Amino acid sequence: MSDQKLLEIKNLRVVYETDEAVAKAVNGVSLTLNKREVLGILGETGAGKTTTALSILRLLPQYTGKVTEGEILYNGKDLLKLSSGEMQAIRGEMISMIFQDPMSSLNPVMTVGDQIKEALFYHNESKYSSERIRQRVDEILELVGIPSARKNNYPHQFSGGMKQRIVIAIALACDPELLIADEPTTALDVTIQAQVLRMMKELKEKTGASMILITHDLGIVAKMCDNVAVMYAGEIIESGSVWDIFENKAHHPYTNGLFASLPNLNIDSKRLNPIGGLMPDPAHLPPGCKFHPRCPRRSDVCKIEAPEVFAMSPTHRIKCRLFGEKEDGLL
Amino acid sequence: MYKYISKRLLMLIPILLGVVFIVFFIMSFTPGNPGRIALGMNAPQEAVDKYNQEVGYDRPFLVKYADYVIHAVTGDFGKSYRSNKPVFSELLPRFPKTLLIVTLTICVIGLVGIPLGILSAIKQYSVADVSVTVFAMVLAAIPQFWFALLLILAFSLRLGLLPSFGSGSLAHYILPVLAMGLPGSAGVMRMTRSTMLESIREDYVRTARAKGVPENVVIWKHALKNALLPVITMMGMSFGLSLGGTVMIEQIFGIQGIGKLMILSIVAKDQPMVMACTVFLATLFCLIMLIVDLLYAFIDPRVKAQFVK
Repeated sequence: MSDQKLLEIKNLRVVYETDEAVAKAVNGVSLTLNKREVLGILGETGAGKTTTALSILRLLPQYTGKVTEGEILYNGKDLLKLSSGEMQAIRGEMISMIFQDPMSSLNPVMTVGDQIKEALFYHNESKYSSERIRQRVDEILELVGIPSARKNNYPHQFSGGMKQRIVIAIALACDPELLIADEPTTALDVTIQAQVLRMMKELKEKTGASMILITHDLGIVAKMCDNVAVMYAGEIIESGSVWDIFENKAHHPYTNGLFASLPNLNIDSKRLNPIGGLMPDPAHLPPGCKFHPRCPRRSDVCKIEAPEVFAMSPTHRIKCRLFGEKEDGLL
Repeated sequence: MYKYISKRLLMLIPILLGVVFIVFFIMSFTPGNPGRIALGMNAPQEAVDKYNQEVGYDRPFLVKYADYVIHAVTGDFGKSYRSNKPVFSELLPRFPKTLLIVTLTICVIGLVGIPLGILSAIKQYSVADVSVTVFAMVLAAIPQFWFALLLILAFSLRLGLLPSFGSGSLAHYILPVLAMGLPGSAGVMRMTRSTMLESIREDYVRTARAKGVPENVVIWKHALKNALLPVITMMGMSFGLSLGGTVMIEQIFGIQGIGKLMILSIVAKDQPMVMACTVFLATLFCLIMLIVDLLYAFIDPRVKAQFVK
């Protein structure tokens, strides 16, 4: 695995501003993604995972969603500073995104073939003939396991799993360098989930793309990812390689909670073991460490002062003062 | 789909029977009779009675109604009391003028309403949006006849640019069409704005943007096509309203169309002619609404999929 940086997010802050409140959705996220690597972003619903992803493509909701601070460097260029024309050239061609809900992510009044074709048509620098584009649509459909004869069908004629494959086909059409998959399997049932994941992994290996995989499913992270970032209330509270997260003993209390909430099949237990409490309202974040109201190991300092990030190993970082004694490097 | 079309055409029968009954009822039980109107206030009562008897106006209501329906089914809609000619021979030559007004009105409604609605949706809360909204509110609030008079005042009397009366050239149609089309476009404008705002926020529009589709294609192709359905219904309704509106507009601008004919006939108690006009316009309206529903299927494949064999 090469260590060339493909994407680097530095101290990203995103807010949603409405008349009633200002929701701080992303609060100083920093991430690095190397070429050909899969980075998993793990977290509960509302942790700011999707918002982070949408900011990379600059697709935050108009008027309300705003990046207030930070840089998103893609191959060294700050995406946030590009003109909308330059951004449009990057979307779909270099960075593409697989959306969460396949039911609503496809245009109901266009054939799926046309929807895939569009991605190719608007990034046609190599001036493919329309014949070649048509071939490519067929190819990409077959690649995701849909007979190319069905390209003239409309989205309502497909099942949910097939729609998700089409969403993936659209994202893969131009062989992007970076694929952002936002909970690609959440809307699917478990058997289809496995199929879709296997397919994504194969395709990724075939095309050599890098991937950001957003999920709340620990199993998917273990199966797919090289590195993991755990998000909570718009912050990355722990990051590391998949080994750091799954095998190491030292963890942020939230990560521990996530693992503890998995059912343990070796012990005969009647109940699941969830983390008590709820994700804080992004419009009224608690002071100090944002996890302290739910943290079983909090101290009084946690309520006042936000913790710093401590490096446990060259790759493993935790944002919690419990690990303060090992102060051998700040991020 | 053919099954659907034939079903809808069959539905015309009860609709028209109902329309005929209501109008016939009103025409029969309102005061005045054709004899008195034709012969004048000073004519002797005997002459009036004779006239009414000749045209068949003195028979009981139900007999007249049944007689009318039976004849109408065979294609005989009677003769005008005024001219004594078959009603459709007088009505049909006037139809092109009315059709021209209504068609042009619909064009104005679509060409003004839809683009302005889109503009105010994609520039939500901007100066353009607010101006369009105010424009739409003002237009919707103005009574058509008053607006028509204002237009005559400004363009015919003050500026002398356009004729205010008659139907000799296309220029004669500009003011009547604007008088109906601009107020009519207000509703379409507001409707387009709200449906566009809705579809712009849909996930598939975000998907289109994520594909790198240029913004104008996102708006005009992805968002608009999905936003159009309710707008098209509204345009169909506008067609019906405009047909009714011609009654007044043709009167104001002195155009010899069906609307003018209808007013003349109502005033003269010319029952066969009023009936013919009503049946004709009602049929036209039903057919337009059928076309609107078929257009749905063209735009939205999900609607098409609902047509059962």
